[in-house]
Amino acid sequence: MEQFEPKIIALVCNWCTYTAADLAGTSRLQYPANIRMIRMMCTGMIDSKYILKAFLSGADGVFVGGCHPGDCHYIDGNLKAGKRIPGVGKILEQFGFEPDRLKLKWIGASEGPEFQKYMTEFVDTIKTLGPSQVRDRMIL
Amino acid sequence: MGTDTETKRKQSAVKEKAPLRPVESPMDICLGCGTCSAGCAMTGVDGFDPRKIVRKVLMGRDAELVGSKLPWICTMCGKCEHACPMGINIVNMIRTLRGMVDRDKVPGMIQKGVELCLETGNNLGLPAEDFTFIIEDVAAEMAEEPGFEGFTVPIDKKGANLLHTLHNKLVNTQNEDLVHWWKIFHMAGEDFTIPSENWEGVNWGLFSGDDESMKIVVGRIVEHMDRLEIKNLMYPE
Amino acid sequence: MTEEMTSKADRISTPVNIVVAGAGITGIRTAIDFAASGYKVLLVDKAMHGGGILTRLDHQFPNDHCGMCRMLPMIDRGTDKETCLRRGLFHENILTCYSTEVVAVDGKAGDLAVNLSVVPTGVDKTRCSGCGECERVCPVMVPDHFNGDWVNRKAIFLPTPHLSPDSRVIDWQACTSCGACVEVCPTHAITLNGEREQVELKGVYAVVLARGVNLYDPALTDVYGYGVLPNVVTATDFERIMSSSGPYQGEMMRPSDGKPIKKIAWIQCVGSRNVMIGADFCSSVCCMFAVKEAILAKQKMGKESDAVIFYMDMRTFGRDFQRYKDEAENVKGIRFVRMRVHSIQLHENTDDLLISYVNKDGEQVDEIFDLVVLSTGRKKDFLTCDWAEADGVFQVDRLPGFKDIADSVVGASAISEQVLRMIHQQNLKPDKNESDHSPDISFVERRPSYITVLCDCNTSLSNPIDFQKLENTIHALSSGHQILRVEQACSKEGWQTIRKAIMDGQANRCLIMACDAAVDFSRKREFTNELGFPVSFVDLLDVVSLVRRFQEGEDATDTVSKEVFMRLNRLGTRSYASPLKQAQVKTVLVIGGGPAGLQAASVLAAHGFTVKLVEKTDRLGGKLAQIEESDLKQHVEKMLAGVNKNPQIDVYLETEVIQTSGRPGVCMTKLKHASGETRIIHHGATILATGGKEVDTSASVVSESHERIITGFDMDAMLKANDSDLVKGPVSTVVMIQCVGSRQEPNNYCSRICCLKSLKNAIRIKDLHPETDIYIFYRDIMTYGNSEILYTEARKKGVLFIPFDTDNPPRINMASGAIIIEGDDPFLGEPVQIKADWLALATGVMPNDVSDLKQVFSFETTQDGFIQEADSKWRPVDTERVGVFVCGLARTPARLDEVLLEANAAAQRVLTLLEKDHTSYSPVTARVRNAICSVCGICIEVCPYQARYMDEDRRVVHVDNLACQGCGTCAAECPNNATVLGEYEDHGVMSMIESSL
Repeated sequence: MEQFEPKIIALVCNWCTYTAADLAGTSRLQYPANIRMIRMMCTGMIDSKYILKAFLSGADGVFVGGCHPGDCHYIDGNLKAGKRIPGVGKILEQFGFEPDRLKLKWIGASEGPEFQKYMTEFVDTIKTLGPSQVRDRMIL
Repeated sequence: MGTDTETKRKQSAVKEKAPLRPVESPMDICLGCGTCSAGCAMTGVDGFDPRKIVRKVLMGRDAELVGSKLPWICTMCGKCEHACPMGINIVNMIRTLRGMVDRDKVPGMIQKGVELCLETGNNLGLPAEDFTFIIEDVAAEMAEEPGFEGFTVPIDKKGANLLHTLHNKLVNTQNEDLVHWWKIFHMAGEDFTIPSENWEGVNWGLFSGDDESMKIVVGRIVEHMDRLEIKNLMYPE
Repeated sequence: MTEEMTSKADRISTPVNIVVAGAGITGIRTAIDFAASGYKVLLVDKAMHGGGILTRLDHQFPNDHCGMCRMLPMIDRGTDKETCLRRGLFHENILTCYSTEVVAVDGKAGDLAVNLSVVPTGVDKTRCSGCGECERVCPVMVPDHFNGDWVNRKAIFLPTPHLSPDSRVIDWQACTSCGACVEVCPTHAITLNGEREQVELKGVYAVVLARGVNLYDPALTDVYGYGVLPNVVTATDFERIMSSSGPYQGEMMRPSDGKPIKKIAWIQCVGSRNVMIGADFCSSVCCMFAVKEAILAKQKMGKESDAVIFYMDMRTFGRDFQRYKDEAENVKGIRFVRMRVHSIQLHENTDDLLISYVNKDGEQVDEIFDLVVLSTGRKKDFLTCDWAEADGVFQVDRLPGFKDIADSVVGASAISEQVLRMIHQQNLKPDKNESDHSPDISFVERRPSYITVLCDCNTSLSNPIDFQKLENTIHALSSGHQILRVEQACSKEGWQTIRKAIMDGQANRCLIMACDAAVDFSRKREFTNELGFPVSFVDLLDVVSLVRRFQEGEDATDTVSKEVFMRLNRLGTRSYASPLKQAQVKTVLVIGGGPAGLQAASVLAAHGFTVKLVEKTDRLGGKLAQIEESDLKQHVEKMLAGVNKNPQIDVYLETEVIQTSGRPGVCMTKLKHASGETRIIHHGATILATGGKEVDTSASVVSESHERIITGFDMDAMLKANDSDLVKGPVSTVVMIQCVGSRQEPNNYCSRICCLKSLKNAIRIKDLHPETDIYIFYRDIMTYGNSEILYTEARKKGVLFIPFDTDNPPRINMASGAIIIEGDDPFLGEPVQIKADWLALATGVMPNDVSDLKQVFSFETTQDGFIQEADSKWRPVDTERVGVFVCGLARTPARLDEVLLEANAAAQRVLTLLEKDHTSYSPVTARVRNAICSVCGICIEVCPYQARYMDEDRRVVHVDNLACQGCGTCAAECPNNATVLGEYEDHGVMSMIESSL
């Protein structure tokens, strides 16, 4: 049986998290290829529907990475995301998605190792959960 | 304890008299940071604390300090001064306090030793003939050792290269230490001599804060140098 | 000359208007100030990287956050690369050049010849792909000063972890020229030639000297054992230990044996406040950074950990610092021990460290620590610079000092203003006219037509890519898609090939797949400025970074294909809207006629602005009467006279501001005179300089008044009056009590001027009456920076200082009719009782009431009533609202010289906003589709920049495009999707998501 390779979208903020992702790269900290990184200016701009779109388009997991509270370039965009994203999570749950498929983490600009860790852990989590049921049940 | 702070702060004589180190810091500059107390080996012993002593001096409480044991607990090691960020001459302050104590209140043997030295030229009060006897006796013993045959100690030798002063214990309880010195001098071919009188190398006026007596004892050695026309002085203490 | 040097020299010699020497935070701030006004800046630094000391710290006090990126321009955002500043400073008007020194400056201000000495890095930045092979093969290991001397690095290395692009550099002092790196470099980027080159620049308008600080080397103080004992590190070393980008990846392990750190001691005042080494100064920031480190460390170490700070005075003189420290002590469990430590010893046969100190009960105790951090301050000597006094050179600091971020940023902008004033007076324009970067509309509005450039440089990739397969994928996306294969996009030839293909072709969307260095910031600007591509129509895929996260040798083709596919899709969805230009009103409203307001008004008038100076009371000058320093007082008096005569400044006394509206650059404000008459003024920006006043909190310590119990302010006035009893004497005993009603709730902030005032008063009294006894009861003496000498002088003159804690303050006993102060002398461990002739209570300052103004401008105030800045460190004279600035006592307690600098800095911020005749805004701003807007107002609430407002009459929501920073929160929160963010519209983002799966 072919090993399940999850498709994961990572929505990361342009400032801290993207810098950390690059830092992970330059420090040769490897993380799985399953992650498709999409750079947003701020986690605050992540509309709930982007997450829903991601899942409906066949993503097995969605990771949201932003600056630590207080470090946000736009003052508090991340705090708003911090309220919004869990809300989306609750909605997803009601539709039968496992809550662990959506993850929000704060990652600082220096935190290359943390970035690697979260990515690797998230892929493992999704692997354990298996493919998203969307693929079977929806005609895309 | 009780301090008379209702009246004005007294001027401290210690503050005025204690000599300064190369970085000239008057004691007033003390920050009270506690560096001295933190590093002092005697902090806490019978209430000793260098910071407290400086503070009391600044508050004009000389009399209290002079009348206490505190100035004598200090080992004058200088560890406090080494680290004091303000460059305060703590050791000199202690010594000046000691100097202000009545001589009959100076603890232990120190004052006795000073007096004996002034009177007799050494801290033990050892008479000159006894001194010479001991020296010659120890020298003769050394001469019996192989390699040192014929060794004698030149005493009061005019024109010698080096004048050597002695710690009084060397002629009291620790004669063998004399031998160490002499063996080195002998093997090195050193033209040394020791004075027959006023030979004391330990100047206890240093410890009792007594500059006057220090001057006299040092003066005697200088006088030897002049009289015996010796250029070099070895003063191990 | 090597290729690297040729390109460096070429780049440098393009017209440079201003040279900034020193690329720390201060230099960066001034460079951005100039660049924002259109001037070409050359930013240099002796070091191999920019950013100065702050590149080593992740978070800063007093809020434990970073926010460096908030220094980037807020308007004209398209001119810079919006990215974390630690990666580098990229602005179209700034050229950065490291390992470069200014060696000579000749000529007159406005027309200088500047000689630079440039050391090549050995690595051509435009070629280096950051593969790191050179580092791997380099045989030389040397101490890594960036991370801590016990850590090693190679002679060829990455100077700071975040650097982007991550080109290596060579440390010539370590390099043995063995050539191993040259052989192994896949792009032939290395040339082993470290010879300095001289570059001469002509026609430079000004040079800014932003020297910064060198840190004291604690190895010079033998008692701490730095470099001898294990696990004794400096504060900056410790920042690296804590950092995830540091030698231990953020694990709290100690250098000698990797043991987890659980118990840390900080020793303050290392190299400072030490007369023995000639350092009679305070380094100002060490108290605060130690508190910050302790807080962050304790968080990381978890429970069962101990963080102890050994200090003499806790200098929490900034507005928010005292509460920060209190929280550290009372909530976060940091221990503060008031004692300067003698020395550090090794504990028995371990790598643990022993510190002895004397506790509050006078007992000597020993404590064992895993790690000791030395809070090293600045070196005592100023960095030498023999051209510093030349004409046309502007020094940010004339005296050495170690300033925190806020003070550095203020000082930087204050100097920028001075430089620009000189430049304007000489009528020197920015070198390049504000050209219209708008691309050709037909180009933009055509159907997307793509060109994808694939750099063939497989040699620097650790994983193979099947280019044929890649091309097939691309062709499948769209027909007519042009694909260009180049060898080494980084090289000159490669780049020319790309340019030619684009100019000859029809493409109006371009994706370049190469490495980060090949298409650096300046090359990307070429697309916009010369090839007419809007910034958003070009994308660079850094394929080297992308494949790095794979295992060695793994086939990356699929992932790269997917990424290319996604990027191309995204490019296709981009649209373009010409930036609208807005005419600016060159008038500034200054509210408050005290020293801060007068300074701001005078400076702005000197730049040609019209100023409306509004003052509530019936006279200008504010607290002029209380100024002590005669030269400062004269300065303010002169300004006052000048302001009254200046035809550009309209003064409105007994007037208040009652209403305002508009947007940055175009505002309308209504003023009301005490008589009831109103008028409307038009202006482009506002400066709040509403000031503060002394607050008499004597009642908190004395129950009844007494003619000889006065405030520090009163005593100051009395000492100036030659006929006062205090001056005439005799005076037997004077007592002063500091921090009366300050630094504890409800006024839990330091008023910053009281310690200085008391010390000056004490010195003055001693000079008049040497026999007077003076006692000062204090909590912490706030003589930060060079004012430490006043504290030393006071002690020298015989003033006695008695510290107290908030739980045991001195008590004033007037029962007998005399003034008796009762307290405890903690050094002696004895009670103290002093009868005083005079008692001076050091009461503090408070801001003037701004509650009315707050309604008008909607700014925030702190819990103490100070006007809240946008960011207390990085934007200290901005309020949240673009175009409204604040300075002086209105914002924070400060000394007069600091206030005047702030006023200059606020004026500078106005310049940046209003200097140009028009200003345009970035396409990445929000807009409203009014047809589907339900006018719920949520977007207005969530905007962190107050950049949205409701037109109440028409029930329409508007976006203030100048203020909008493009965060997109409004778009995400809007329930109807009526608000969209330019460049990040839903369809674009959704398409990107879809195409990536």
